[in-house]
Amino acid sequence: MSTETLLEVKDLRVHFPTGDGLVKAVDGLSFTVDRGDTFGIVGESGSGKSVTNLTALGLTDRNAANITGEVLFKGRDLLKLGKEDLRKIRGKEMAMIFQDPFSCLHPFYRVGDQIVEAILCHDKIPKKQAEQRTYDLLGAVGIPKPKERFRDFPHQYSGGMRQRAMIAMAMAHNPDLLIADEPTTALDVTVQAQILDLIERVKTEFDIGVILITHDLGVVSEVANKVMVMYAGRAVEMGTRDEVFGNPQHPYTWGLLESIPHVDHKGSKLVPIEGAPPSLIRTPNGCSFHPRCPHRFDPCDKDDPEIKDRGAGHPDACHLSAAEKTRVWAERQAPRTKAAS
Amino acid sequence: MLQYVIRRLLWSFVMVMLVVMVVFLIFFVLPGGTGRKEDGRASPVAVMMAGRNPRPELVKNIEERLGLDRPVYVQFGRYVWNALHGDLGYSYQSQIDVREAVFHRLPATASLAFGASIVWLLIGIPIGIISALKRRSLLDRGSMLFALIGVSMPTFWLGLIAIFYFDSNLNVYSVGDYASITDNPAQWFATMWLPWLVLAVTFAAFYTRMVRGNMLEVQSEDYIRTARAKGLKERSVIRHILRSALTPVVTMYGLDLGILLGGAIITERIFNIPGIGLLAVDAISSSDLPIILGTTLFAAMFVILANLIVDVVYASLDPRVRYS
Amino acid sequence: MTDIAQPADDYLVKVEGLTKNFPITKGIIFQREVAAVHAVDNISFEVKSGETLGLVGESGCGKSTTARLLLKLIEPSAGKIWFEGEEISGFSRSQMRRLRSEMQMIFQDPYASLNPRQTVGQIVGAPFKIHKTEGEGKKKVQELMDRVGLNPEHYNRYPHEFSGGQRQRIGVARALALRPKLIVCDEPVSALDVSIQAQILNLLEDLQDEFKLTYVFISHDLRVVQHISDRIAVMYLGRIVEVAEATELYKNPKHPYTAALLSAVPKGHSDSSGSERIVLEGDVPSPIDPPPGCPFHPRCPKAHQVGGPDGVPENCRTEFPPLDEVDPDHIAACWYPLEQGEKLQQAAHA
Repeated sequence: MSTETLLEVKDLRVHFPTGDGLVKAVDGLSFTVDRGDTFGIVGESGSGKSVTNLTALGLTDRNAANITGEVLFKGRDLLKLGKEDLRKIRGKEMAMIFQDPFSCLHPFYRVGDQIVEAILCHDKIPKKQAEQRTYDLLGAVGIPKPKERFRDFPHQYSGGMRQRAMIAMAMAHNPDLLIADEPTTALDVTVQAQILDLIERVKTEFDIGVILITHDLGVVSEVANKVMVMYAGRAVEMGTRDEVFGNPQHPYTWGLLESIPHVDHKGSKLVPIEGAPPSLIRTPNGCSFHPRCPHRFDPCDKDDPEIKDRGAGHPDACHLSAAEKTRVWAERQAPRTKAAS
Repeated sequence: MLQYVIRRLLWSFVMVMLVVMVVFLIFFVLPGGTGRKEDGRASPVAVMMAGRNPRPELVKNIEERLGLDRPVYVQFGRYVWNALHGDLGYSYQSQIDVREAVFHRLPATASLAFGASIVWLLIGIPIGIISALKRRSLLDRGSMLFALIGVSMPTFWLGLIAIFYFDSNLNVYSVGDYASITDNPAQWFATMWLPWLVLAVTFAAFYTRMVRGNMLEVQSEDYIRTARAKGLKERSVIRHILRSALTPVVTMYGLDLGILLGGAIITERIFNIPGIGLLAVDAISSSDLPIILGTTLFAAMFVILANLIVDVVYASLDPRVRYS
Repeated sequence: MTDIAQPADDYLVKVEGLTKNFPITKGIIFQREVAAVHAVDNISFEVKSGETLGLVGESGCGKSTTARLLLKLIEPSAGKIWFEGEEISGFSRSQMRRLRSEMQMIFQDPYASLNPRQTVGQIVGAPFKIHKTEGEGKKKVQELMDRVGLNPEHYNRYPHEFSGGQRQRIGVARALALRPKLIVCDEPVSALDVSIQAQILNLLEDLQDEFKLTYVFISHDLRVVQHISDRIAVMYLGRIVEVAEATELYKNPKHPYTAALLSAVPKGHSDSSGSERIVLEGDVPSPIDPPPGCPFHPRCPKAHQVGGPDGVPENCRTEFPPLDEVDPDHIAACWYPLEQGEKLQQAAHA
């Protein structure tokens, strides 16, 4: 399989000046996404995971934010492109679906017309032809009787169908990269499974790259092949799925893994991460996670650990040595495995 | 939908009846009220109508003719019964048919209301839109200042200032030469343009603020982000925003127009425009109950009808709204 | 009170045949009912003293309506509710006032359920005032704040000065103020970040031990419900379709819907069971016009499997299956309950 790099983000910083101070929503982030990847970005609210992708698409207000770094999409730096050039990429080569399908479609326009509009804004084809393509798209994402549902308004669709329509719209131009921002969070569990399946199917059929942003480690571990864990505007750990979930290196990743109740580990107590995520205006000195970290030691409150491979085979941003990490993680897991068996 | 309209109309009827009843009662119960009869004394209206030094028989005669000697509920019942047959009675003062009087005054009020509303829409909507699109710009700040001043200026004050300036100082306007549009269009326009502007200022300021607020709210909606994400040109994105942001303006406009059609009392009074508002004011000062009731009835009907029309129109603008 | 006396020490709450319809009316002047949203349809269950009963289901299954019915925040259309052996379904508002201190609720949205113009002290202290309980006021409130993990010195702060997790702690303290016996938790952690979720879940567990609380815990998140509940009732379209002890339900689901729900939960990397995910076809039908018979039959893989080429079996289509004991202490409403270890086949047709 040939790996073609679709998106390369280099040292991206997105800072919003506000009355209270500078909000560092994204603060020095680098990652790459290849064709065929499902790149999972995990983080809690305020970790910067959504801002990163909105910035890549040129949807953050450039006047309201200081943006530095590079976002190379198929070799072109999106941050240097003008508004019109960016618009031509959006929806055509790079598409996005969002969390809440209830609010993401315009309530006053028919679903079909909204997709037709998406087609016509990049392709100069007759309207009839665009309508035909919309029927095909709606059918392809599993909406029954697409010709009839074309004429429906969004409120006549269920949540799952709206998300399907959003996917149909995103795939209208056969983009290279699909960014899915919490695509299943607002949906029912059984419908979530349908949508995740659909995204996976779309990925293989159209041979594209997918960025999947979510707070749900379970979702990421099921569908992503690469994972990046974000905290306070930075990546704290990054690697293949097996690396990150099989051999997690960062105390924050550990905390996330331990906070999720597992259906099959009944009885073991959850280990929450103490405290709350820091304010993005006054991030702590040193490692931004150190005030919540049970393993902090001397350099943590002074030196900001850079993200690099510390001997585990994949990069992380924690001062602990790889050997130390293996020991601590094994210790933390011990009571859990005991309780489960 | 038809069922909904019918139901609303039936309720409207009840509403109008209630309004009329309240007005009726007020003018009976309040001291000096038209039909108020106390301990065998003659009703004030009859006395007034009988002229100077009336003979008691004449007063009694008038009372009988107008039914003022009957109990309140009989009078009210008779009024409603006649009203249902299109007879709103005759003015106590001038003896003219109330219905005709109101219809006669309607064109002036309608000219004022529609004309002013066009002015305030033409000012309010564009400024609101531009202001929202160029948020925090000099223009935005300027128009918000205008809006603030506009909503704070009372019409009666602004009207008098305007007359003082344009009539007395510049002589480009003269109060009180109203001519109907069919008789003398030029004259009609010459008398109406200043009242339009004066009446429109407050509304325009209000609409500017509303349009701007709606636009800003809609701009941050998820579906606008979707519209941008799919690569729409900015023009189309703005169209998406307008579609949502202007829909509530339709509602507002309908209601405002309905209220004004019932008579723009202050503006009509200041500019001496012979409209329904002026008719009502004159009637009140001379205790002319039939005219008061008639104007109230029309005003109530305009408001209620406007409400109904607005709701029906809204259903066709917003597909989520369905009445049953 | 004479007909069925409930032993008070066994069940704290018991409901029988609980039903709630929200009518949809039509007509010009005289409104007649043309249809109804069958939010909750003839459900029965009991909550033992000191246990946590989980209510799980997808949107529109009636779990939140059930919560409101239990606390009599809305009136049931039919059915009976007992609290501590006393039938409260017929109680008037004033009769309920006496019981309000015994039953409390924690809401999903900590942002919307706290009055932004009141300080934490006022919010948490309000129940004392309403129920005229004697107390040293501030001191009692601060003890409570300390107990739920809030800094007592923040007594005079307003809700917006707190993070989401802390706000939910305020909600917990408010519910706890009058030492209730029953707390109904309606999606208490759904709006919170994962790491904060765990904090609140642990807090709820600790408080249960300390104050001998009984919980009815409502969530759409099976992982959360599974973690905190002793027993779980699964709801679908206003009906309870399965009730069992939590581990039993997970290991041995009897109702095909439960099995599908379990399989749809992302298990994470460590999952070794190797179970295939069953993806149900279609959406949850509207509760205005639920399918006849078993409401799950149009989406049910098992029904399609049993029926084979003949389609869904007739009893599934026409008759709601009774909620019967399939295994000891394990009840399910299904004509063809799953055997232990039986794997559902993916429905081939839509």
